[in-house]
Amino acid sequence: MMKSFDEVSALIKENRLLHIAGNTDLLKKLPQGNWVGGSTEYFMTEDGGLVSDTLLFVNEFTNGKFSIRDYGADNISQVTKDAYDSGYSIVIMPFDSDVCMEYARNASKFEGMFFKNIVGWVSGVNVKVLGNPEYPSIVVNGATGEVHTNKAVTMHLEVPESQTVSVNIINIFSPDENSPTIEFIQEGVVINTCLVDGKEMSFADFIRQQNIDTRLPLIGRCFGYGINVDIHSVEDNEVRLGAPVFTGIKYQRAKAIPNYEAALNAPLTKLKNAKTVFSCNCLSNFMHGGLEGKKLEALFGPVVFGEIAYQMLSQTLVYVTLE
Amino acid sequence: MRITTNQAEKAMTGGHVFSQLGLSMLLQRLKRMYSDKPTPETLQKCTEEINIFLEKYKKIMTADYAILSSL
Repeated sequence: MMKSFDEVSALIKENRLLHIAGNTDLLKKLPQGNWVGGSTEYFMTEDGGLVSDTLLFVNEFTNGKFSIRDYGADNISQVTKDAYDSGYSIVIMPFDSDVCMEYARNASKFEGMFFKNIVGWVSGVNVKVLGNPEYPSIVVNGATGEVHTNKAVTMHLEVPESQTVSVNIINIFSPDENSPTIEFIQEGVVINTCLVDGKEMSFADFIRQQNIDTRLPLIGRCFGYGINVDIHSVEDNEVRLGAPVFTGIKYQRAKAIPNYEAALNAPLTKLKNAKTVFSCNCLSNFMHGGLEGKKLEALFGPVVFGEIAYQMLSQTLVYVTLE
Repeated sequence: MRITTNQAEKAMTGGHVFSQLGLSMLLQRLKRMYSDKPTPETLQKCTEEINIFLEKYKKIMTADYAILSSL
């Protein structure tokens, strides 16, 4: 829910347990307390998609036990060990940071991953200043007041064993049936080579030769789920991705989405009454889908620079329900 | 809620569709692990991981277990 700076400050002073998303300067000025936060100026609200540097998005939790921890690239693999057996953890990490790269590359191999409910997002800034070192993406450990540009902050939340946490995604994209099959022999987010219908070639050349629309993700098939990978940049012989690709997965180009609002609302209608405790949507969906001012049926939260549902994802809506 | 090594191997190597995201991603990781080292020991380890997962999330695994146990 969107709130003013004063309203959020008041909640913090009441010792509420909060997850906060908003403008960098506002986050830095909030009082210390039981909260974690990350920077973004994009939101999906009950009133529609919103760009704001004056309002903050807040989730309030009523859990009993919790802990707030910071992690660098050297110890982010500990996040699964620190997570509660019965509970979920919200990880926020700055865009293009070392910890973000480490998580993207290796999260699926962290000990205990998929046995703990790890979700989260990548913080950013207004795209007008993205990449400007004067406007870094930040995360904030509200308990200590520390602001980080190269560490992740995590809120680990315990829930009673009588409740079941479920981590879910919504992917509005589907594979283009005319796409060749693309496979990778390297894993990670910086890729040089791929196999196109079994033939090895430069991934950058493939994208250029096929004139691929880089606003659309590649989709990897994962036991019933489509896992999106968006293309951030295509250099001479190097492609930078928004989420990792893996060996052993067959990818295809995605079909274009004529109407993002309708495509998102189709699955969201069923979630109007779900007990959702966290959600985030991707900035690519927001920007390419023109979602500013458009209303979604459910799942309100920050619009972010990378989504985490166990592992790093892109162009995906992530949400957590309690059942 | 347990499966055999035979069922685990079929689950990892077939193109099955599961409803729980965590199970799907776990199977993808185990599939890579088994593909890198396709030995009985690896298969046993993968089976144990799947069974631990099924036990932990048994409340929401009914539909996916029905598929796994039919393999």
